[in-house]
Amino acid sequence: MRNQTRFLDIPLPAGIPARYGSTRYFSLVHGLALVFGLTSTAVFARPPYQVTEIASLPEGTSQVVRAFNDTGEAVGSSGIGSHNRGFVVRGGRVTTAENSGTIDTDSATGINNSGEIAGNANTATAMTGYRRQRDKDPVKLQSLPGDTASAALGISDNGMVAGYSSGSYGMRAVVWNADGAATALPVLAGSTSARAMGINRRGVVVGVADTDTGARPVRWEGNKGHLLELLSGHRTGEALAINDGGFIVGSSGEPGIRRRAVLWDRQGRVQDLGALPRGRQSRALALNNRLEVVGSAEFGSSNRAFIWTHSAGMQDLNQLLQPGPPGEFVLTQAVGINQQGEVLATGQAHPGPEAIPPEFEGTYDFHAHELPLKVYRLVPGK
Amino acid sequence: MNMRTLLAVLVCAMLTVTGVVGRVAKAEAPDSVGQWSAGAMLPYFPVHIHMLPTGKVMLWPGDGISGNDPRAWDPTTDVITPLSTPGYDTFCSGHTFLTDGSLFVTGGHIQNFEGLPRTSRFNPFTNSWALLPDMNAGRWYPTNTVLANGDVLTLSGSIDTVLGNNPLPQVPANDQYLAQPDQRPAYPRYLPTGISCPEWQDIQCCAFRCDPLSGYDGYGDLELCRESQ
Repeated sequence: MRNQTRFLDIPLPAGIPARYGSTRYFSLVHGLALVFGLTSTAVFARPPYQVTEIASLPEGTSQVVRAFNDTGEAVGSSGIGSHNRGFVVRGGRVTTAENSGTIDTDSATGINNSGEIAGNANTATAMTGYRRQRDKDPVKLQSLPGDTASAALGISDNGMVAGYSSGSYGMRAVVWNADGAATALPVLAGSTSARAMGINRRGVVVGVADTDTGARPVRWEGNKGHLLELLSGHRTGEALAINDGGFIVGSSGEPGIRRRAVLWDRQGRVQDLGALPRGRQSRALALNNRLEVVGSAEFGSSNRAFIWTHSAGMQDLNQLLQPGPPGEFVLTQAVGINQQGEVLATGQAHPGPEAIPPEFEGTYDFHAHELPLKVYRLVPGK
Repeated sequence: MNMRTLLAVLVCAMLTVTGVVGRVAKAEAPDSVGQWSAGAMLPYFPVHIHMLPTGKVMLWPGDGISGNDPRAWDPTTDVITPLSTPGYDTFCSGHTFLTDGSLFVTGGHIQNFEGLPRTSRFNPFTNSWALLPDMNAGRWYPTNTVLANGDVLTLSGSIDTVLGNNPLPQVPANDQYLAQPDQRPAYPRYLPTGISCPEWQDIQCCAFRCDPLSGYDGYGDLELCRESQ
């Protein structure tokens, strides 16, 4: 039976301005900062971002917000109704795709600048990756011969999909070309399984290989795979995204103990992107061709969304927003950045003072996982 | 209303009130409804609690503090004593008792939505932990279900906010979580409701059958059934 795709409207708020600029407030604060010499690159080095809430994902579910393209479309998955469903935010509307081959849950994990989506769906027997061009039926991404399942985790602007195939051989990193043909990426020596997480326009792939000592970041180019360098003293890492220039971001660390956001250059040399003042850990999740990197960094007992640039280093995105009413929301993770420098971030709205014990007042760290996850689009100021 | 009728009404009313009061008094008697009393002050908010076969109650914390601090409360003496620790944060883990009385624990806490791949087993009779091999990836709030043959099926749990839920059901064989021959469907939430096999059961929004007796080669042969209506 041919798969039928239709989009369902789901009742999520969209296009609601989350924070309003206040010229008077900004001028006063800025002026005081200048007078007292408090102007720092962390606060006023760039025009502030305008923030718009584009979705609100229900609490109590597995909420994943994954990718963002140049037209501001975003994808992810969340508990919607009784199942986890993939969603796309497009033109101010949040919709979910319904595939007849899905028995219960699906997800959307990548979107390119043509609006082409990669994702995964549960079928009656196994998880299966799919790719779907705008307004067309989804195309199933076949597993490798002998395998029974597949998963799509990233998609390039020219329609190549990165992910993995799994079965009796374990989990193998795979690339599907624009025609849907699957190619197994080379297995690295000492690796027990691997998954491809990202791919650029040139077909260079990044991902993770599991070894006896833990997960290791990998770059596959041509018919070769290379383990990427880790920071000194670290044993594990992950490569999550690659730009068209060949720069890669991810993290380097020790399993379950500490982790630092890192950038690899085209030669595979690793650079520590640092941490925020109230933390030591960080994780880079995405970058654009302008070498602007975004991710999440430890901040006290919680996390804050960050942006890193070569000139300004790591900055808390919460400090780069147009000033508005204090305590309205917090950005905890930046998951995508497009070529215009627009950022896709997630966070929580303040649950209200009555819901927060006194010891947590002024923070968002109290039961953040029991609050709806807000998805925000940050547009840089001119 | 004459005097006789009024008297009859009053008597009926008194009997009714007396009966109600009597029933209430009887219903509230401790010997029929039990009685609460204050116990020992706990050292922390006990997120995970288990009734051990030793008669003591095991508890450990989380959500702001590490779960690597299990304690035992003795209901007979009201005394709380420290237990040996697993060496990692067991907040947000999944757990089930095995047939030998030990507690099997999977996953754990790195941060919200990000789980550890760790597994371990606590022996309440020797107050000792055995650290077991890691699972395929992290699990934050997985579910463990004891199968009919005594094996444990581990489902779901969040890996992190990039990969979402762990899609791979796993069954340890000889204390080893071996590479799985198949990537099975993910389950919709963390802490999915586990069911005891081999009988068919429907649960909230999805249903599945697992029949270890039909042979699953040590891995767990899960067969999905139709979504319950």
